[in-house]
Amino acid sequence: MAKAEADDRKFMQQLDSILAGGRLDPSGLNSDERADLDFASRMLASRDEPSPEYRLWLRSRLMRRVALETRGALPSAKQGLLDWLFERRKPVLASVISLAVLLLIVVTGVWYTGRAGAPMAVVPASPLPAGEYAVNLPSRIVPANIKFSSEQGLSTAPGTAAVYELKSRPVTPDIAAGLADELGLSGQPELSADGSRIDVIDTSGEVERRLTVWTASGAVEYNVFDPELIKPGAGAPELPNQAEAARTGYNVLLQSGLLPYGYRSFSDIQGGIRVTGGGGYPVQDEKTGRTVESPARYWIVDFPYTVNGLEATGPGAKIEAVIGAGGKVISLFSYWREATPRYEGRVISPDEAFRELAEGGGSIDIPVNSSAVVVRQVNLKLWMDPPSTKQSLAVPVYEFTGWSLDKNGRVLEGFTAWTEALD
Amino acid sequence: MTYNDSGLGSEIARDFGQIYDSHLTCVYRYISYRVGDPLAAADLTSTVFEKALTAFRTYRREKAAPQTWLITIARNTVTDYLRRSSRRNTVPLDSARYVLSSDPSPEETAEQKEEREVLRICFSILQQREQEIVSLKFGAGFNNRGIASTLGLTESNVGAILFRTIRKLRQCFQEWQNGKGRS
Repeated sequence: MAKAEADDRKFMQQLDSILAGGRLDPSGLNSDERADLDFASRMLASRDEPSPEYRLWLRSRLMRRVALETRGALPSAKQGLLDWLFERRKPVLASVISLAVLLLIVVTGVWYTGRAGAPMAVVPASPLPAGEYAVNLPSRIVPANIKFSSEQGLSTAPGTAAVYELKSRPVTPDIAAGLADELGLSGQPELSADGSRIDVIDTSGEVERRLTVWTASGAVEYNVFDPELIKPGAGAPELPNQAEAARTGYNVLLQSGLLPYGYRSFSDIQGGIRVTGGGGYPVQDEKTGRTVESPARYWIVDFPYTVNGLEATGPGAKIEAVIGAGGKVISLFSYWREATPRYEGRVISPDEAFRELAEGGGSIDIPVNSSAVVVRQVNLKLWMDPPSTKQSLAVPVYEFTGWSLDKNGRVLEGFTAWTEALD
Repeated sequence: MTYNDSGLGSEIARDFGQIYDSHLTCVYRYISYRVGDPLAAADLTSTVFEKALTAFRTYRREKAAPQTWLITIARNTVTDYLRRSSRRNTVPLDSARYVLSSDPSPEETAEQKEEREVLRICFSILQQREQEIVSLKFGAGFNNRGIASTLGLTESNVGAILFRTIRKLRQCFQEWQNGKGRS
């Protein structure tokens, strides 16, 4: 008994030594114990670590909360949620909460009364009537007698897809001021005359910098207005390489708390990032005399925006950073909103959606001299309205991409078109 | 330590920031062991620190060391999560290969990834108390005395369970290795 306890103690001492970063001392251990301790070392080596990006993201989020609580923009633990809600400066919010509490009491009362008599009817999670949501697709601008075709055969099988309830991020002047701090802007938050946005404009430097938070959606935009960026003829800027630009954009969005919660690791989303050149303008090639595009003046880094694997589309589907010379951040766009599934709806088949587009439905905008449209891809996506619009439901749409052709079959330009997908 | 209202934000930012920097890894590792899913571990870790920040003004260092305090919050958070989602860290051994193929991580070799997954699966076969003890030891870095006081066991009891559990895990891992050698 005493020997077994001594052996256990020795084993534990060895284990603690390994855990503390020491090396295994095999003397006095039998082969099984040595194997156990070797295995323990292996377990230690395979422990999960929080990634540096996650570490940074969470720290920034917590420190932002401390700053906001100190400013009074969020309830602090000491102050308490109720105290915060019922302060005089939040009468509307207090009224809403009071009404919600009252409703809860009434509903509970009705439910309790119902228990004594007939059982209460359970409301099924049925699909919403079409009038309860709107898909605000752009206009349809198509010349007469256009011929539509598809490069590939389209599926005729209908399916299902979720409709999502959207929750906008909260917007207050304090939150805008906190964001401006993060981005190093000086200036006071100001509500626009129409109440659609809060701006923080910093004119203290050589160039104007502006932060805009849209009140309808909580979407955030940041822009540096540098005239050099749009001045033709200036020398080509020294841009970082595309991978560096992507990493810079990611870090700035992450540190400012502007990325969705799941985007904690760069490597997780790296595959979905698109980097394209921007700011080029037409110039004449001295050797050939042809008009060509000047080199890019900045990189546009687009981050993937998906909801449960379904890609978002439309003017409100944008998570983007624009990176200029020396890795300088020129613009940031963070339009994402929290989405929770509301119900699973039936969607028409890609083939039916294509026929609808060809027969005059949906949104498409092609040049007036187009004679034909060739669809190359059809994808089911989730529609996002512009950030200036209050959107409560996001519904699936079909997105078509392809070419418009002139009467000789030459490609005029690419297009993106949409049709509603819900049956 | 207590906080006055003046200069509150910067004091909290400094002190809580230090606690965060020192203990993030052990909280994350503890949760990662318990739930066996890196994404859920990341979510729950952020929840733990959010809760800790909410309670920070009333936290007394003399009553509990930061690590003990954070791990107490983490244990409650994990328990709530497992209860709410009706999920346990249990994956049938047969599904190992399926799980392995669903976790791309370019830095790891395929073999390391596979080994990590098998360890996780072997871990999931353990009893809840064994999982908890291993998580506190290997994840949170607690000594046996700390584990004993956290779980209401004697120190020698913790040592004996830990010893048996490591052996059980090793045998499970060896069975997988032997099976791999045959296939």
